[in-house]
Amino acid sequence: MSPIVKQKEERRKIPPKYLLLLFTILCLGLMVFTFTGELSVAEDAAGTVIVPFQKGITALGSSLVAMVKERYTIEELKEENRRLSDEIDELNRQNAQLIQDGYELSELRRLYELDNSYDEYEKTGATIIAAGSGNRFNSFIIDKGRDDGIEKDMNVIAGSGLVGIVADTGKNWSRVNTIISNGTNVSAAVLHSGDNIIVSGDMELMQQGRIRFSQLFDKDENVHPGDKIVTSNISDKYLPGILIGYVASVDMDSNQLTYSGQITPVVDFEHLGYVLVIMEKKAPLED
Amino acid sequence: MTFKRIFTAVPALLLFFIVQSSVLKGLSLSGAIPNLLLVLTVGYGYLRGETSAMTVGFFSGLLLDIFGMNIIGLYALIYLYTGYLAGLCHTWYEPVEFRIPLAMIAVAEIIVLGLEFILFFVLNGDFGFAFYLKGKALPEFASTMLSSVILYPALLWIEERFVNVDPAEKKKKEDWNVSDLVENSDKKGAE
Repeated sequence: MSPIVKQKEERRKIPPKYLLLLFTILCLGLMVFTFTGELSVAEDAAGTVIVPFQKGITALGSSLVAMVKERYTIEELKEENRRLSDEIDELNRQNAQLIQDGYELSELRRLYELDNSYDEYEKTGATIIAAGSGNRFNSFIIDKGRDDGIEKDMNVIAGSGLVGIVADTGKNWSRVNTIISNGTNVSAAVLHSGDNIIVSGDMELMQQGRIRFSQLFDKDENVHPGDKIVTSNISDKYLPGILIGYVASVDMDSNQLTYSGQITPVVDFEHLGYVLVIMEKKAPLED
Repeated sequence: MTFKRIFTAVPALLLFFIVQSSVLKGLSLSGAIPNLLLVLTVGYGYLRGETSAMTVGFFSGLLLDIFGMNIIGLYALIYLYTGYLAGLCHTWYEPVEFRIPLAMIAVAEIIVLGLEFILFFVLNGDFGFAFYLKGKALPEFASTMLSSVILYPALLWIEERFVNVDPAEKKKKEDWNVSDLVENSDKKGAE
């Protein structure tokens, strides 16, 4: 029962208090440094060690899921096959129609010089290898980084909807902040009326698969549930016209002037595995 | 001694971080993830003392910051102090005692969750404490405690089996643990 023994031993090392002070200064320094500048050296070092493991584990997880899925019985597959063949017929019909419409659309776009749909942006696919480690942040890590040409503020989509924005890049990884995370605001617009709104991530609503929107000035009340919400032209980071979701509900604010409500995003944030990074950034505003 | 400590702490840190960020996160983006790095930091505080716990805490926090935060250094600072405070309890260290380290992990988890609520919710203008408690804090607390029941004994086993075999350390242990010498004397007799 002798703390004295311990003191003798500890005396030879750096006293913990000094070490604490040293680390504290280091932490504060890092915080200040991240506010002022880049910190890519530490990020690259960490990325080089960690990312290969995360990639491996993600691959392992996917293959396990695939193995489980293989356990469909043949009967189920037959049934599915029959259903799918019917679907293919139906889709073929629709596709023919769509191709027709597509020609018409591109023709009209050309006429209106509106050919800036995001279908035409250069995109690169990336796999999600880890979700952001800060537990309460809905961010995730993808397996492409600076070496693949990813830059901060590039838009990230999945399927046809907006997922988020690149917040940070390392050598071989990037962190994407999703639009559903707390404190994220996206300048958006109601597609058919052009009313500008602010879409904000909200963790509480996210549990129900919704996000919030606010500051809708809609005097004529022509925004209804089901309307499409896209990123707006006036956003400084998001490219215009990317689909965010559909209006789920609209309520008048207590100030009797603006409306707010909820949006159902088109992206299924719970089951994201693969995303597309748009390699084009919104050009900064210039004088 | 120091070499052995580093040689066990670094793989443990990387393994816990990767498991926490890739494996468990894969299950759900919004669900509760056990805070394995906190278990590691506090566990080493109890097993090894301030210096180790501070170092482990600092690097745990740094990893969390780099892969999940806009400001680097915040989690590092929180985990650094968690490690330091946990390390102060090293004087109570007894290999057979499980209640103290588990209680320490519980207290640390509550403190960290509270800090996170203040830093990331209240300062963002979100005061939904009931939601935070029900949706995040309680599930995370429960999962952390559950995992610590498995992981702390594992850490202890590695520590006793591979790290604390230094003669001086063994002597120190004997000085401290008068009550639980049955197990230790058996070991000594075997050597």
